Amino acid sequence: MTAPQLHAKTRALGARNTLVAVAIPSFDATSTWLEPASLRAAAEIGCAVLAIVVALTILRVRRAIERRNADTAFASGLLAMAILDGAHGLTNVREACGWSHALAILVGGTFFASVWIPSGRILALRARLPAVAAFVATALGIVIVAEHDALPEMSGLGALHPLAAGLGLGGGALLVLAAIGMRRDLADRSGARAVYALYCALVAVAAVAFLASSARDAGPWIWHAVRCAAVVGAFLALHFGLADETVRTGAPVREARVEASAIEATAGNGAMDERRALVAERARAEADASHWQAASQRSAAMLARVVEATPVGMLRVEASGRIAFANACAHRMFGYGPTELVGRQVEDLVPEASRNLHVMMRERFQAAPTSRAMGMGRALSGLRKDGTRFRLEIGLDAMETDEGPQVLACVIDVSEVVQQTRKLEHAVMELARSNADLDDFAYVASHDLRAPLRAISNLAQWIVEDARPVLPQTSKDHLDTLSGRIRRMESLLEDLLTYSRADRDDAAATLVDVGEILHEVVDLLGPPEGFEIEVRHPLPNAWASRAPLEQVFRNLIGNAIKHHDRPNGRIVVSGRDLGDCVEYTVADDGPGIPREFHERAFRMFQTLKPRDEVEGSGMGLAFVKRVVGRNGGQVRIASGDERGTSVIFTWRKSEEAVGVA
Amino acid sequence: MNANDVQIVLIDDDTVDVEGIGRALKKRRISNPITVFRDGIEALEGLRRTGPGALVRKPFMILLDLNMPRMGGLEFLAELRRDERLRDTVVFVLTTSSSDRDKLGSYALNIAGYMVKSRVGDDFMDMLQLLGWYWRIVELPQEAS
Repeated sequence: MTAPQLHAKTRALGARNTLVAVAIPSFDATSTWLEPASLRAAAEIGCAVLAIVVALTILRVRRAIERRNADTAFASGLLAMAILDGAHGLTNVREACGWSHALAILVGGTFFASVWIPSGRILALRARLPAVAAFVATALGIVIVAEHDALPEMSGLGALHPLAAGLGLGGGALLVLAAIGMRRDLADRSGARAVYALYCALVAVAAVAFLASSARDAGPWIWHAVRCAAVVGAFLALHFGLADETVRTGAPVREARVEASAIEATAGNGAMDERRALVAERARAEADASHWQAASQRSAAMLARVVEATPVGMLRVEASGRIAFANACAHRMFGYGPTELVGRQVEDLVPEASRNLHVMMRERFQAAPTSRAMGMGRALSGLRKDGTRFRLEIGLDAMETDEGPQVLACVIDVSEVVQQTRKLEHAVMELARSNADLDDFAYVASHDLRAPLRAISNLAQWIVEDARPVLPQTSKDHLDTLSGRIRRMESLLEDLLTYSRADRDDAAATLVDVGEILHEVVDLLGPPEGFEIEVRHPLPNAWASRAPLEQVFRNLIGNAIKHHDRPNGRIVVSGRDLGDCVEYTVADDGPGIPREFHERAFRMFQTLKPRDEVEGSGMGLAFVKRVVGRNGGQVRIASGDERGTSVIFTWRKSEEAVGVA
Repeated sequence: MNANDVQIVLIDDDTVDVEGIGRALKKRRISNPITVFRDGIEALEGLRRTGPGALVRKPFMILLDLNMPRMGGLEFLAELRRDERLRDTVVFVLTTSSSDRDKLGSYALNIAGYMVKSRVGDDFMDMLQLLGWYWRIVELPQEAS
């Protein structure tokens, strides 16, 4: 039912009938100017029925908008009073009249006062309050009509039974309370607030007048008049628009929305009536059609901006292959002007060689559309307007549109990525080639350089063999020196080869027993008389392929012996677990390495003493550094203050701990 | 078979090595005839020559260098093992290369031993000592005729 219809109906039924419904039952049954009794009874009952209609109308109008506590309470009270007043029209017994009036005031007052029951607290009761009121009033009415003989006797006008007087007094108090509650509950709706509150207040006054008139035997006219005034006032207010528009017409859209917002804002308190929120939501849904339309327009505009701004090319293609839409990026990517793409065949963007395939695949996709990447792993190319091609990747999705089924294609230009990947692949190949070159170099160094060296060596030896008797002593010495240098060069070449191979040890790494390795190394080195090599247990195990680690220890212990300056020496090998790696130390009591040479000692071909004094290639520590670094460790030298050198290196302890050299 | 009948075929392009082996043989008083080829191609030609102009007659054994011009030792070996008449030849590799590639490749072609001319000096002497004993004790294949 629309608001204008409600307006009309409310005016026709509600307002006019309110006058009749509430005014007529106010006339006392004992009045003498409405005779006979049957006419009076008919008037009373008819009016009661009309009052009920008014109450129901209020409820119905309010359901479409927002029903406040006051609306429910007012309608419930109206119902209860109407039913009890109607009941008293069914009997002409004095007792029944008195009791029914007193009870009507009490019950009506109670329901009017229910405006005070907080929202949400008694939710179920609130929704059913009018029904409860009707039930209670009907039950009481039946008792009064059927069992009026059993009711305590009234002694007539001016002599109310004390209980009935108490009921009336209590009802009056409740009505006053209700009047305040109505005002409070409808604080922001001046019209309904005035009508409801005024009505309650006047009925309260009527109740007092009823008691007073009974006590003083003043006749029923005063309180009938007051009630009548109340109803007439209410009717006039409703009828002539002094009351709240919302009662009369259903709320104007704007006001309802404001109220709904207010309810939502306070809903967080949990004290709000859920039903009210629901009703408010419905009101808003009706009212906000234009608002939603505007919002949807806004979000459509926002989406359009996103689509235009995104660095992904987007195309919508119709079933025929016609491009229905292309965003700015797609135009740029394919080298077209800002609007040139729309209307073209999508195959214009496909290199000629693939066009037939594309048509076929497009039709297949339309037959069984799935959201997927186009090309199924094939390298896809796009064709620009100027005829150049570029590599791209495409994601496809099917969509239903107003213009029929379309395919959404999201396109990314990957030519740069492809180019970078190619560069990278090329670099990797270069690296592999240069490693192979290095391998070759090591081979050349080991073979081609060594062969002539051997020849020189042999020739020198043969000269000595053949001509020793005739050679002067200096020549013999020179030939000896020559042999020595040849040996040195040979060992240099040998060490260089070992060094270059250090990177290419592909033997599988395992957890090796370092104690066992050391045992073998010491055995192999055969330390000279006077040297003591102590291996301090326990030694942690290392994750290594055996050969390189063995070589490291051999070099370090060998160095310690070779560079020792005394006939007696002591070398201590120890190790410890550092948690994420293991650390080994080879310490000697030799002359030590001055701090400033520590770094230099790790360079290739570096020796601290002339090779004539200590034979060595200068490759030992360089090799150690390289092998240790390759296994994720670090190596350093620690010198004692006066004597002694400690070489300390770390090594990985498990497979996971692969370091980067 | 007289041990002195065993002919030594030396395939090496390095004159110093050739002279070294000659000197060592002389020193050991080994008087077996030596035939020298400079590379694999020359050696194959010489070895395949039969009849009156033959340079080499069984029993003989080969001392082979690997690194040579034109045809290296490994290629020569492969060719040798494909030759119906020469495939049973006993070959010792005598080289400066200690690389695993060469070593494994040589043994794959059924050599009798791989010797590295690693140290300068008297190594030829030890080597020839071994070879001298070898052909005195080991029976070498004879010419089929």
